[in-house]
Amino acid sequence: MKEKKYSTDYTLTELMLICAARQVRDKDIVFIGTGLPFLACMLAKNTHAPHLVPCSEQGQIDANPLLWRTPRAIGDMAMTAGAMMTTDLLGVMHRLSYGEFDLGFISGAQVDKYGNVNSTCIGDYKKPKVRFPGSGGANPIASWTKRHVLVFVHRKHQFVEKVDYITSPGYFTGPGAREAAGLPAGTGPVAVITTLGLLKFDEKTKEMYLCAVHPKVTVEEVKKNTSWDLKVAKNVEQTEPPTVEEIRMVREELDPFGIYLKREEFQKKAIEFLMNK
Amino acid sequence: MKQPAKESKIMSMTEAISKHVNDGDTLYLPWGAPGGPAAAVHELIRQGKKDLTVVSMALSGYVDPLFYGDQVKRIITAWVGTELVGLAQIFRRKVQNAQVAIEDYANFHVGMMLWGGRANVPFIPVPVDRASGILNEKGCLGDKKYSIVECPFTGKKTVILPTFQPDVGIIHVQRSDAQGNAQTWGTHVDFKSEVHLACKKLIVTAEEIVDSDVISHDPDRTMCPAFKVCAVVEAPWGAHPEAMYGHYDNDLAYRIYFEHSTYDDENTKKWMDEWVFGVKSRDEYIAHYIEKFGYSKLMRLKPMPFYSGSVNYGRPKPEVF
Repeated sequence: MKEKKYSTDYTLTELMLICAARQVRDKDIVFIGTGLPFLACMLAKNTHAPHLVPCSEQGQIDANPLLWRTPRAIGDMAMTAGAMMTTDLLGVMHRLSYGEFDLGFISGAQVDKYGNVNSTCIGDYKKPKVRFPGSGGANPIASWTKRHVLVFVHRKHQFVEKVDYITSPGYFTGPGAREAAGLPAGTGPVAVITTLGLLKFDEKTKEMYLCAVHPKVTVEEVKKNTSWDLKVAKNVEQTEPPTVEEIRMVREELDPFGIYLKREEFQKKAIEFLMNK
Repeated sequence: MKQPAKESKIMSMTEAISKHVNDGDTLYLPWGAPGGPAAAVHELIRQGKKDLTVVSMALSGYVDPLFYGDQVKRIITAWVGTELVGLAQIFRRKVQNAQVAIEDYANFHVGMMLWGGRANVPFIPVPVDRASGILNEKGCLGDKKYSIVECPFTGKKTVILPTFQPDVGIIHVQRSDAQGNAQTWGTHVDFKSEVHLACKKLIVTAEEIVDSDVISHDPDRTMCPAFKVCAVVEAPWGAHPEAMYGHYDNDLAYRIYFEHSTYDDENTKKWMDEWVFGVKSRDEYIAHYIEKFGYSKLMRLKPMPFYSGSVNYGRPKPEVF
């Protein structure tokens, strides 16, 4: 086997994305959304999971966007030209509730220790302090995929004791709660990939615990950025750093313009481009 | 046999909206990225149609300006946003100030509610958990948000939702004939399951008006029969800044420009005055775009061609045996 060359030049967001890609298995039928999870799937497809089947809420089944460019949205032309099938939102959702999707990715504004995610609002539902876009497909994805992975920037105000609104179900209040709420047994979040490390859920209690920290990150730092008293594995491992090739692929092939990974800079440049007559 | 002459429903956007959308209507709008009826939404705003209830599986950025005034009273949806660009800022502020009453579901559920409306059944069972906010936080529908019944066949607890038949829906398509036989291709978003047919009537806006022969040579692509349609509007660039497959790409730079123009009320007013109230039609909007940014900026959105092959439907021979 070829020896892996590890990179030392990477951002935590890039590492998060690469760790998310490692959660994908070959032949997974994956529900992809816009943003980092999308890049993660494309990275996986170009590395260890060439047979993964990317599908989106917009109706594309087995899409092949990197033939053209980094898609700007799941409804992007790049997602459709080159796909094997196009149906529509209900068409894909019916495949989801039928139990045919292996993997989904979920992100949001808040997550709690049982992996419940809020992407709807902060504060009172009817007069919120901050309103976000809402569930979209997140609730059904977290309900009906065989396993789903949470991707979060690790900040204290996002890792909270109790989310203000459960948009996407984790394990609710603990073991058995998903089944009691009408969801299929054996489903639920399997991992949380953050900017600081990798967390998993205890098989018995369904509570989130710290499994691995990224290079140069300490357990204390993760605990400090979590609102509840975070449980920690006996032997906390260190995340495998990104390889030189993974970083090259991310920067040169997956997001060469920095649409996602250098968002602010990209947006500034886009407006300048438009205004420059 | 000679085909009888058919009545044309072609009219201007101004006429279509003023004739067929009433104050107090329940309005269906599609997700819209790609293909949102942006030109029609701007006309709805200019005409100040009010007390609207909007029903939609999801709404992309093209609809955000509709929340500027107090036209939308209630919205039943799963998602209002601008994807990678940011948040739908105008919508966000309206909900935060409790100036728009909202009811949240997942997009799947709103789709099923419309699907039920399309089939003319009073309620629809849906797969949904019973512990998340989707059922437990009630908004503008109150106790009519959902009910839980025992399935008469399996005895299992089953969530049922009310169905909707919106008064009017507005859709933008690649092509339509003068009667409203409308065709779309590419990503259909809402259209393959025909949830838009839940509407009592539809306003069709189209990039191109074509002869009925073009439609009838490829009926697989028709997503709405003429008898559902009350108005047909020719609206080139009618989805900008969203994409229209085969016609133009989504205008990412403009969508970012819009987002950055709507961070506060004062700048939002400027954007509205310039791009909605300052023009009378989509033609004037596009002329303004060219004047402000340059013709090449508009033309950069034209996609590379990507043709499908054609298929042979076959047509019958006249003999019987």
